[in-house]
Amino acid sequence: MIYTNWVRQCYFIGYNSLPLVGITGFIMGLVLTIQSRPTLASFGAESWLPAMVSVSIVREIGPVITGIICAGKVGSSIGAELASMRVTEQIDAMEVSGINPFNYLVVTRVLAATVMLPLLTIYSDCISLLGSFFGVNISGDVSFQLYLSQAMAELQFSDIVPSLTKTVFFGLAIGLISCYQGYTAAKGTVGVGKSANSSVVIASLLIFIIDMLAVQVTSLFI
Amino acid sequence: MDESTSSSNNTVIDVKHLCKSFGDKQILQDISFQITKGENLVILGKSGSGKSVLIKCIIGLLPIDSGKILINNTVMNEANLSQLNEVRKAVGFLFQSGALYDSLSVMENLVFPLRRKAILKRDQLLAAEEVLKSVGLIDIADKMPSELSGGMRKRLGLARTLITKPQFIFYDEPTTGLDPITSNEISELMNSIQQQFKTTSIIITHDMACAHTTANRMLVLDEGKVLVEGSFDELSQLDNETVKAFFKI
Ligand SMILES: Nc1ncnc2c1ncn2[C@@H]1O[C@H](COP(=O)(O)OP(=O)(O)OP(=O)(O)O)[C@@H](O)[C@H]1O
Ligand SMILES: [Mg+2]
Repeated sequence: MIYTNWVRQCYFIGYNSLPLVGITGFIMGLVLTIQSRPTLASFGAESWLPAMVSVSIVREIGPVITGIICAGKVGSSIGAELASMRVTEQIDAMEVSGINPFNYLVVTRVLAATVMLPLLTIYSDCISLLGSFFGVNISGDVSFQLYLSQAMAELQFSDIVPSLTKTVFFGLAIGLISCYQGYTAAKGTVGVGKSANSSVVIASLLIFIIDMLAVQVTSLFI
Repeated sequence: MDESTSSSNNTVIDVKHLCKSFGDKQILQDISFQITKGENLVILGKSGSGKSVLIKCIIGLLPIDSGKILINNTVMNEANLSQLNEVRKAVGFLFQSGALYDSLSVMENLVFPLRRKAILKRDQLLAAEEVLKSVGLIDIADKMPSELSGGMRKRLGLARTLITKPQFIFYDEPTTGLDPITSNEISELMNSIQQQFKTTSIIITHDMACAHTTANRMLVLDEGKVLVEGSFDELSQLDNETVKAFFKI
């Protein structure tokens, strides 16, 4: 029962975020490429464009943008949903029917967010690279194969692993914060709005803080 | 049962000197009463007199300030979660608001309380159809709660309460918002459940017809205290302003 609910939450959190994460990822890749081109061109280093863009996307932009988008989309929906369940006594009803609402509602959502964030980030990274490929080709003619080999040239294992690891914590933060805010919502519809709002605000802030800590920790090892 | 058995052995719900406040606001003051096995206790009281708070305290949803609550000899206000769950297995609770699960369909709402019991899917569906029919709802199994009318939601909440065939049922305004015909049917249903399964119930209501049909004993709450206690006929004779107001039709 808990497992099926977890799968359901993964579907809501992961699958339903694909369009939004995809579109923003594509635009970020495209824009970053277009804007970086003149600077690199002035150094005569245009061929570095794919590599530079891919490194910044994989290390930083992909994870953070995905995190922020999910903090907004997932955080607000979890916060509002749990808060309205609290306010309309649905959580109390679960409790009296002997089903542990904490396991059923909170644990499933936190785990789903933690698992889905890295997957969404991988997806977003790939779409961003695609966007960047289009960006490169606006004023150039690079085959997809050449683009890929250029983009991957500078990417290392030590770029990918830390950046995906931090997204696990992004997911955890989004899940924990929004569930906490929703689960402990104050009575009344005002409580629902407040929970949704503070879920997004606190989760977004935490994502930047985790990101900053992650950079510090990573630099210790690499 | 042997007549010589003392009445306290039959007491299944025992509330002793219950006090409850929210912040500075004292809601319940020194409430004491007992319910014997198989009895329907109707609680009357003005809006805001603390009736809903009282039954939530009894089932352990709200912490109490002082006093003692026993259900089947389990001290509810000191029980740990597994003890609470053990008692709650035997309890059905109809929330005043219905407390339907918005994200689940009518059928999923109904079988939700059965999940913790090892019951075959097919038997769950049969049980669900049976309770739906008993509250007069048909052909709505696939609808979502948001698509139902107020009265239908109330009856669905009732059906969900009854599906586990609980030994104790707490009804918070079971007939509010229903037409008199359905209201009567629900009252009759509550009675027949009591007789068939020997259930013990607390019924909160403003509906005197429902009270008349279901009550074995009644209790009037006023300003956080128990004002009077007695049978329907006894209370209807009383010369007290508040009590009279309820019986005036
Ligand atoms: N969670 C809460 N926090 C603070 N005060 C509360 C809370 N729940 C109830 N109250 C207060 O307790 C009092 C009793 O509320 P309760 O819901 O028990 O009334 P009631 O007797 O059921 O009334 P009604 O017939 O309208 O349902 C009210 O004054 C209400 O303001
Ligand atoms: Mg009430």
